Order: sequence, then C-alpha cells, then structure tokens
Amino acid sequence: MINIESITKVYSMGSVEVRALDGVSFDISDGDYVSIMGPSGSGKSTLMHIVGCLDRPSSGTYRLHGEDVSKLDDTELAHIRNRRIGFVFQQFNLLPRETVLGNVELPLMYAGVSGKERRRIAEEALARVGLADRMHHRPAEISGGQKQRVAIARALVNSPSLILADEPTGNLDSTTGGEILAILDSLNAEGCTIVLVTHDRSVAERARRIVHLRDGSVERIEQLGVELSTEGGPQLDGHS
Amino acid sequence: MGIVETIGVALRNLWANKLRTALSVLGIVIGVASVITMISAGSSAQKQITSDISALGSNMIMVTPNLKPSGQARSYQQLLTISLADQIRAAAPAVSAVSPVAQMEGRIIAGSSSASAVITGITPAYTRIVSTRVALGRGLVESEVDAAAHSMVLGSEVASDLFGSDDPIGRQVALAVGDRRAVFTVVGVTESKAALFWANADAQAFIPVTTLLYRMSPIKRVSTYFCQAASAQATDVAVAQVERFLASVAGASDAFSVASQAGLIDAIKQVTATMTLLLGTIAGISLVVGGIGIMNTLLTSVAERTREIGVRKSLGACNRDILQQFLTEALVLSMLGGTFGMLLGWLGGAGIARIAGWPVSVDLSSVIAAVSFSTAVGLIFGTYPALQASRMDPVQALRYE
Repeated sequence: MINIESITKVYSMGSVEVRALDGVSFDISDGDYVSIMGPSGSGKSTLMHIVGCLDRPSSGTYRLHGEDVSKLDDTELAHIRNRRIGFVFQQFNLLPRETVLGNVELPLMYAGVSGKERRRIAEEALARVGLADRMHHRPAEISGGQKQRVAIARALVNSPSLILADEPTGNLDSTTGGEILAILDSLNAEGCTIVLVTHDRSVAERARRIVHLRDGSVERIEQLGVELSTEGGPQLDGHS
Repeated sequence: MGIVETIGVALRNLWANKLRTALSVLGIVIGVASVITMISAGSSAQKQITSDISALGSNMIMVTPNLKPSGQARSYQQLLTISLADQIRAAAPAVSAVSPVAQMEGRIIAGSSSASAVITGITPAYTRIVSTRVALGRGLVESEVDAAAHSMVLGSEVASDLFGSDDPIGRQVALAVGDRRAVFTVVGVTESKAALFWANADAQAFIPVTTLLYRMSPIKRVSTYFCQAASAQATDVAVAQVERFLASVAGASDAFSVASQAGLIDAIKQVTATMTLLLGTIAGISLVVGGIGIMNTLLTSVAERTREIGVRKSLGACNRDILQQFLTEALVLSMLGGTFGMLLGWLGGAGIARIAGWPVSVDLSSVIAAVSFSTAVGLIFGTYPALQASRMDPVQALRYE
C-alpha cells in the first residue's frame, strides 16, 4: 500500500544544497510493521515527514493506496493526514488548553464529525488505551505515559490505515515505553500498518522489518521474523 | 471545522490569555467609545443650537448693515433710520413685520440698587418677531413708540437684580446711557429665556426705539432690523425682496447682510456637522490604533502557538481551518470591543450632553457605524496574522520549540 520510489528531498541552505534524501525506495504492505532506523542526519525525520504527508518529496513518487500523493496540494495533503494517517510524536504534542477528550476529538472535528458522534468515538478510543477515567483532565494533569496513550487514542479516532510513530518512547522510562509499544503491537495485530522511527535498536525490533538509513539512502532492509505472525513477542526475543 | 467549534476554540484561547485579551479589547473599546461619544456629543450640540435658534423667534430675518461696504462710499449709514423699517415692509410683500433695533450699554438705577444692562430700543413688532413673552405687566405699545415715551420693559435678570422679589411694575427707575440720564417707568418684565450667543434677553431692558435714539443717544442710527417673513415657506422670497430693496436704496449690493433664521440654522448645522465629522475622524484614528493592537496580539499569539498550528495541521487541519480560527479570534476581540465600546460611548455621549445641558442624542447610525467599523478593523488587522498562521509549513511548525 505504500510504494516509495527514488524519493529525493533537497533543501537549499543559501547557496548550498543539502540532499536529505537521495533516492530512497521501499514498499510497505498493508498490516506491516516497519521501523526506520539511522543515525541523526541520516534523513529519517525527512522520510517520516514525507511518508506522513507533512511534506512533499523533491522528486520521485510516493503512492499511498495506489494514489500518487507526491504532487497533491496543501488541502489534499491535510485531508489525507486527517483520514489515513495517525501521528504519535516523541513530544506527545497534546494541546495544553484542551482536555484529554478535546485533544482526542480534534481529528474528528477536522473531519467534520458532529458533536455527539465525535464524543462517542473519542470516548471509545480513550477506553481502548485505558484512559476512560482521565477524559476531563488537562494534559498537564496526567503522566507522560498517559499523555502518549492519549496521543495514540487521538491517532486512532479516524481509523487510519497507517500509524506513524516518531520516537514514541523517547520521552518515557522503559516500563512506560514498553506499555506504549505493547499498544502499538496490539494495533498492528488488529491490522493497522505501523511505521516507527527510532534510533533505539530494542524499540526498532518490535517491527518485522527495519529500514536502515544512512546519508539519505537506504543502507539495507533487515528482515526480523521469518513468520508473519501476529504473536510478535517470543519471536523478537529470539533475535535480540 | 464548524463555526461553533471555531468560536469555542477562539474563546478558550482568548480566555487563556486574559490580560492580553483585555488589553487589546480595551484598544477597540476606547476607539469605538470615542467615536460614538464624539458623534453623539456633536449631534447633541447641534440639536441644542438649532433649538436655541428656533426659540429666538419665528421666521426671523435679520438685516445688519455691513461696516465697510465696497462700491459707493456715500454715507449709507444715513439710511439706518427708524422709518427704513416701514419702507422695507412696504417694499417686501413677503415680510409681515419689521422692527428697527438699536442697542446701547446702559445703567439702570432703582433706589439704592443698580444694574448694568443692554438697552434695546424696539417697536412692539419686535416682541412678536423675537418671540419674547411678558411675564409681568405689559409690553411696549405703538403709542409709546410714537410719543418716544419713557416706558421700560425689564429683562427678568435685570428686574430681579433691581427689585429682588418686589413687584417692579409702575416703579420709577433712572437710566444712564453715556452722559445722558432720564427717568423711566417700568411697565413690564419679560419671561426668562435661554441665552443664545451674545443675545441674553434676560440681561436687557427694552424701551421704545424712538426714545433710545432721540432722547438717550448721540448716534441716531438703528443697528439692526428684525423682520418676520409671512410664513416659513415665504422666507426665501422675503430675503430676496429685502435684499433687492436694500441694494437699490444703498446703491450697493453688499451694504447690508440679510440672514434668515432658517439660513442661520442651516449654516450652524453645516458647521456642527463638519465639527462632528472632524471629531469622529480623530476618534476613528484611535479605532485604527486599536486595530493595530489586535494585530499585535494575534501576531504574538500566532508565534506562541506555532507548535499548536503544526499539531493541528498534522491532525488534518487545512490552511482554511487555521485561517478561520485566527480570524475568528480577531473578530471576537473586535466585536467584544465594539460592544463594550458602544455601551461606554453611549454613556459618554449622554454624560457630555447632560453636563452641557444639551438634549441627549445618541445616533443609532453612529452606533451601527462604529460597531461595523470595529468589526471591519478586526477583519483587516486580523487577516495578516491569520494568513501567516495558515501558511505555516507543518514540518517547521512541529519543530518549533
């Protein structure tokens, strides 16, 4: 469902051209779980922005469900982000002035879902991540792990086909991080495609494949499991 | 995103920065309030002045000799006689009454008290033209003019200065004008009347014009002729007839100025309208300054919320959603300011009118104008920050710390 073909991204810093991505190609099929790893400056953030339709490639094509999204305008990209992609950020990126429920309702609001329906779906998503009792709290009143769960609930509400997690455990301790990864695992088990950007090998190994980036190109694609099993736990242990 | 949600988000954001919101609203409040205050004070003043002029008399036409007419140098001042009044009346059919008026400074002595007053020489027609009512006794009569009688009607202020609460009718007073002195009998007292400009009827004393010119004054010239047009509609015709006659008599068209009461009201209205426009414009500048305040507030808000804008965009907000959100905040600010400013302006206008003793006149059109102007200010000054916010690159915005 995701076909990335010879994508480049060139930034011009004054007179100097920086090639953040230099001919990246790979495919991700529906229901896949892929990690993108690489040292800082390898282009993984840029790639993640392009995959997340926050940015357009300078050249190459990016097909999402067969649709070439590399040439779409701002409004069309916003629509795709809203309906097909759910973001989970390292910084959680919850809006501090809105309640937990209000934050989760945001994507529904931009999708034009009416008030009652919006609330019902948001409550469901919060229950799904175990935060039904924190709905009316402000983000400042809950813990980091809870914030990330809210962010996951927010990413889920429009039933996206792709969840993009950018260092989702980067600001969490290992126990809480493990809980977050477990939620992602179970989402994947339900058929959601997950792309996880990280520099942490142990986190990356939750996926089935790891795309290793270096200097803006794919260095290698590592296959982690032979079986495409939904029971990821024991398998990954074998590889660590 | 729906309009209700947008307004909700705007209110929450504005509420989160109460002080900043209050200050930028205050800018608009002051702007709108001053526009409404100025315009309503102007229209109150206009109402007062025009009603004062209307109270001065009915269908009045004032004929005043110009001091230095061009054209023929012949001593046209010789023309300013009492009998010219009758000639004017005869020559101008649209004029129903004419009174020659002469005025001098004088001093009235009654026993131990004395008062200075403007001594106005008139004929009985004057009372009708200038609508002066007699409160006590009677007005002057034609026979007293013919006989240059020593009868006097006192203005209410002069009467109370001289006699206090005593009845002045029939009392003898001494009048001194320059070096001439004579004894007069008080026959009446006028009703108190509001002063207009220089003409405070209450501080005057009225005697027959013949008595003033022939007995009390070395200068035997009338200073003004007060005419009355037969009807309000006839005023313009009357003015034209009087002008034509006087031009032929004096041999110069600019020897006299002929002004009707209606013309005076029009002129005053024009002056006050210009003043009101000027004041309103100056006040309008403060509204623009208020708009700059809104822009400043929004620019700060946009910069502070860069990350929020990035997050919203990542969740599917399109540029129009963001534009709408910030524009709504600008509109909420300016409309809040407009509403409070309208109330304050109304109070201000009513307050000024009350202090000055003018009729309260808060123009609905000025209220509509100020409020719609403030809304326009919100839109105009909100557009740039809102556009800036909507055009933010989501990647850059998300990176913003």
